[in-house]
Amino acid sequence: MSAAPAVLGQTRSALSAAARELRSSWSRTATLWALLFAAALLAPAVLPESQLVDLAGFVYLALAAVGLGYAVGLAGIPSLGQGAFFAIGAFTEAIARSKGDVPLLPSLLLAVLVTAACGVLTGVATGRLRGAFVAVSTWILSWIVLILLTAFPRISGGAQGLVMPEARVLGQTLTPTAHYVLGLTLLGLAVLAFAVLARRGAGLALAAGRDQVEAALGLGVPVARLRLGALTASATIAGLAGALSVELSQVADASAYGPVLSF
Amino acid sequence: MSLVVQVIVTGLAAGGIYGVFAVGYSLVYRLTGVVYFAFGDLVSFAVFATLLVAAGTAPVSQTSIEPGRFLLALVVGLLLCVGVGAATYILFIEPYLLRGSTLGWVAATLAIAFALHGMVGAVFTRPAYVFPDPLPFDEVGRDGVVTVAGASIQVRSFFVIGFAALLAAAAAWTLERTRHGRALQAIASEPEGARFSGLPVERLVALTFGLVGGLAALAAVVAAPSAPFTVDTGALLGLKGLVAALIVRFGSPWAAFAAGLGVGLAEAAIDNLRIGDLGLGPQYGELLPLAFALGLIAYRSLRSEPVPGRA
Repeated sequence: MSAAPAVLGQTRSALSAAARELRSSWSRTATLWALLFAAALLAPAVLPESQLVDLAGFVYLALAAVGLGYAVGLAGIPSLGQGAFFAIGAFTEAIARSKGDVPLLPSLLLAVLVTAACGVLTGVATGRLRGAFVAVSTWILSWIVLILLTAFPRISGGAQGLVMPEARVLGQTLTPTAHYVLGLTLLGLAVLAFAVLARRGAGLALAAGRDQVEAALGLGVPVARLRLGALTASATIAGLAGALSVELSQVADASAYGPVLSF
Repeated sequence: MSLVVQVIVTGLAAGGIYGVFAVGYSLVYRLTGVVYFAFGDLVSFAVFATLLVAAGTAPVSQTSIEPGRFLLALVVGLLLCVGVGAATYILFIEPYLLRGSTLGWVAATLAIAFALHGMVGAVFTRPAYVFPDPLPFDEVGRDGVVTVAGASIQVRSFFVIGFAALLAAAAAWTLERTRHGRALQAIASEPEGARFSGLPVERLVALTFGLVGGLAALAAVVAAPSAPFTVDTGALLGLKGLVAALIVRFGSPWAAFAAGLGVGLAEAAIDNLRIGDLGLGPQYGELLPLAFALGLIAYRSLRSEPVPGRA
């Protein structure tokens, strides 16, 4: 009984310390972002469903774009393969769901894993290349995925695309509103993780590897491993965005994915 | 046998064009370290500018064109290509090179590629265009087709092969024998030294960006009447030229041209040839050379020194 006030006091001081830290690191920009995020969450209340579908699609594209930031912004890897990873995620999801009858959550996991594996492969294969050649090889990868999707109807369902079964999770249908909120949450998390990473150990090490390779290597920064991680994270996010966007539109259309999507 | 002859001639005709592109990519890369992503769309821009002046955006038949107007159109197309190529370098590539920003020039050249592609697509909205043929090939043989060893071959294919080889030879000759070419070699091997010894490096490199564009545009215009030309044709020609250039590691003009011919032959063979029941078909013709190039890059990368590349 006598220990309780002490514990409470400790908790209070820890809480106030945490609040102080939060206040000191909180900036006006952060307030702005938080407000923007909250405002965006209100959109389903005022917009009709048809516009919400488009909006959710944009949110997923934005998620892929933030993913690209991990490779390009943090690590300085000139990856042009983001569209390809997006498409790989989308079509893994579409094929698993429409042809394999895999339920929603396992298929999403599969799509993310497949894209992550592609990201690792790309990272390993291009890890020792100069920037120009990383750009070239990811560019070629984008074209290969495009040709695979447009010239091989057996994979992509051809001109009709692949029609998806209804997305249900825990007995509930995934509505455009749910997609929008989910997409926005993921986008928020991705941006937050990016902001945190950019100021912390791994992000700083990546920046060092980006700006001063020799110096970073001399200090023992595992530049190659970090870059592989950044590219994989970037590809994984794109894959998740692609898979979710195909659930949103309920049809996977091969002609919608191409090198142009990488931007 | 007839099929083999057909494959060889069509393969060489397509490969010749890839080869001229590969020469351009190699020259640009060796001079500046830049991979010229806008190359294909720049050439497409020039080809469609030529078509616009020669015939407008309306459908044309193969022969409804006066030589005089076509010549004017060709000159306009080439000048545009040279001008835009040189301006691209001065405005959008050199600033990033001076800052050592790979991301910068990659993004800039791609942005230019998309801008040019969008412009062409906005004006030329039909799926494919027939390009007028200023040369009367249809008066040779049966409507421009001759039979060689049992194979029916467009006469103009031979002309395209010869013309592409001529362009490659011109590029090689310029590089080896002229003052401009020797200056370029100097810049490629010692950029700082070339600058100190008073060479106008910027101007020479910009001119080269323009000239390789003109060279490839000329090749593309010569080849264009052979098949329908779409808004995406230029980008695909550029992509295959890039594959050829990668195979020979952006080597000498002749090596790049030979690699282009090889890519063209491989593509035609994959498209058409069957070994017994085993045939791959046209969808693999574009896919496999790209996959091969990607595999080759990865292989070279994994065999190189384990130091992460600089961005």
